[in-house]
Amino acid sequence: MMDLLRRPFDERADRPESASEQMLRLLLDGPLAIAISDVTEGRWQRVNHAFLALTGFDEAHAGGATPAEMNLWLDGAAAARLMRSVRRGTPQRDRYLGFRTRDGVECVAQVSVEPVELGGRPMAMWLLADATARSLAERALHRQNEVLSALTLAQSQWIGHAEQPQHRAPLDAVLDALVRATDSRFGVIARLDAGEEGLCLVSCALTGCARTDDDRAVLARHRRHGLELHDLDNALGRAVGGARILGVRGDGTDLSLGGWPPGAGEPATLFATPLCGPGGAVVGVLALADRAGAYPTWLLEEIGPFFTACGTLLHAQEELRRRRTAEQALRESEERFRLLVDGVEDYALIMLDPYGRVTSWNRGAESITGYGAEEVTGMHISGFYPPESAAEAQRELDRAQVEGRCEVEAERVRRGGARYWASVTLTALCDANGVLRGFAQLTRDVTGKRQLDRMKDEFVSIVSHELRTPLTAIRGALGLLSGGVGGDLDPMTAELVDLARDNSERLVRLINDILDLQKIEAGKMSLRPQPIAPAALVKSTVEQLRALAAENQVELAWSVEDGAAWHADPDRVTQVLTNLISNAVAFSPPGASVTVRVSPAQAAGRSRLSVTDRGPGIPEELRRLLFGKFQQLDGSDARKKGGTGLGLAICKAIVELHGGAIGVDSDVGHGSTFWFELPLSSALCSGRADRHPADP
Amino acid sequence: MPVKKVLLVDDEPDIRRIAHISLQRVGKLAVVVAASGAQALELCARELPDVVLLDVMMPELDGPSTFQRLRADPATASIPVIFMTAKAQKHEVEAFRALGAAGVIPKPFDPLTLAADVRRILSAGDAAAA
Repeated sequence: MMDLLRRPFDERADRPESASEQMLRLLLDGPLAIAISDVTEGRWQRVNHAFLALTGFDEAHAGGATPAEMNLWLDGAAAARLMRSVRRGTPQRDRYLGFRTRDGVECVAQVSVEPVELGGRPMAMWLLADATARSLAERALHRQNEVLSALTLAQSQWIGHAEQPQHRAPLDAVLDALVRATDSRFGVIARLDAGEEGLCLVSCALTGCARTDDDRAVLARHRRHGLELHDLDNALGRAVGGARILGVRGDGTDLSLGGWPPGAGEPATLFATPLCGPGGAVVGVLALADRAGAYPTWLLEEIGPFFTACGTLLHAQEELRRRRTAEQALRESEERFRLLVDGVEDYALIMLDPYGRVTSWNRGAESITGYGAEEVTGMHISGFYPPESAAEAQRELDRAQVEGRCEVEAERVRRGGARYWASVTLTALCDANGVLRGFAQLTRDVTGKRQLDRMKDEFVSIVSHELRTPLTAIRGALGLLSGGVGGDLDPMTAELVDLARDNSERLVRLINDILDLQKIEAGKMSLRPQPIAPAALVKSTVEQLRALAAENQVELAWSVEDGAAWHADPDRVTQVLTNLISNAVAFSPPGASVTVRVSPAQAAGRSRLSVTDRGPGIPEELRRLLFGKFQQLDGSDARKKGGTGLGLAICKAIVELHGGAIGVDSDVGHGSTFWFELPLSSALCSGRADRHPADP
Repeated sequence: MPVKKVLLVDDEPDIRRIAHISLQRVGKLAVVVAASGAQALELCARELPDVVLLDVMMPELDGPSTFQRLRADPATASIPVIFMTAKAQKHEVEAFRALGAAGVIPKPFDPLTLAADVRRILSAGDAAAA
């Protein structure tokens, strides 16, 4: 075997080595990988140990071979360029050339090529230093730099565009850098969204995915708001769940992306990772796809640190988006409220500061007072009170502050001094810490309403007098006639006079009922509640109605099982009881009995008074109508009985005015029980049960 | 004290007429009629009736004012007065009693029992006084 390392530089001339050849031999013995080739074919003439160690070849393979025969250079053309340069006598220094070891491992060498003359022939001397580690480090650094500058740019862009939360360019640039750094074709960054339909992913950056015009159109449409992915049963969904997905098609890993990018199928290779916010919660997902070969772990370790920054950026963008959405909603709500307040003309809505000075004044306030907002802003609210009651203003503010609100109906002054009646609600506005921030005053001009009330009162008073006066005369005249004061009447005349008298009496009752009801509804029926012994009241009412009952051939019986005193107005309770007993008598068949009973009520603090008849009963669907106005169930029958149609409505109003309840239980064909319950007086009567049979 | 003569005061002629007939024909009483408060003061002092039936709502001098004047005149101060009114709620009746009225007859009254009602009120007053 030819000793490539030791053989003389010039085999044809058996002569001692020159000084330069000796120096070269020293170099060849040194640690630097050196190979000497001819300048035509590039065939190796000499290689040293260091070269063999670097490339993994042995002397037998390397000696006399060309680099092409050894399959040495990764980029043969680049090596050929170096050789051409040397042939022209120009050295090449510190070039990087990829080479393959004998085992096939791809490495990088820092290469210098010098033209030398050996044995009188031109040669090329290749000096190689292993630069693989440095090259890898430099490439990694380059990739990291690229992603880092994209992130830095993204952050500064994000700060610059923070006023536009929908702006997506920053994340797009980051994703672009990640796709380039990993030699991927497609990438997506999506945020996790908890919408009404459950969790979904919304794309924030998509790159490299538009492969057809249709895809591009879809992406353009959704660029502003993002594409939504609701089906999370895929690789992205699992990444959101916290898993890091790394796979190559066919290796058993689920690489489907739920239809992302639109129109594309499963990627050939995929890397997907959850992105976390500052608190560690998953805020979204990053996926990179279609790198040739696979995603090596070292590559992902290189770019891994940037995922945190991506997550933080995504989180910040999402937070801003949420805040902006909330702010927008608040602005819209405030705007709606402002429009509402401004649009209200009938109510003055006035906002006051904690000292009672006007801070806002709506159109209603302008139309009621005659002052424009610009005239009164800063003015104390007492300026709108009549001079003699200006001191009331502060008292009302104080009351609102202490009690939360203050309601008054009082006189106020318009621009020009005219007075009007105002219904005012003053509400204190406090912050979460209870600190007074001001007052809201709602004012309504009730001058017209008060005038109307006064007119109504006058009308009722006139009606009560003016209607009753002629009725008194009619009834009196008919009474005298039917009593025979004007002489005996023939039977038909007597019947007609009785008919006229009965109807005039009914008209009197109707007027009384209408006046009663009006009084109750106007809140003008004043009760004079006092302790009442049920037995005495029931007894006297029943006694007064015995004549009526006898006329209808109906028996009246009463019993008191609960003698506890009521707290009620005796006149009004008598009125209610009289009404119920009269009704029961009127609707009972001859020979039947009506029972009045006082018993304990189910509700504590009340007792129940019931009147039971053996009348026709009331169907359930009609019972709720009973206590309305003019609600006689069978008009003709009720009219025959002489009712006004208001009796039960009045009873209900009176009982409710007492804080009691009224109702009816009925069994059609067997009779009805009308009942009402009254509050008990704290003072108790004798608990003795009184029972009284029907008239003997 | 048996009632023989009544002074009836009402500004409404129809009411006056009905009450007049009722008191005279049914109640067998002597009736003096006044159409106003002022006339009532004059007739009362002159006729000195056993009782005055006094309407409440009258123009110019109304019932309560007429009543005060009757009380102020020693000649008529002791003559019992019964108000006739459409305002006959229990507390209104009490208010008239508090003024010193013998009683109240609500309008519309029953012409067949008017005189009997007057006698009943006066005898109740006598019983209370005794």
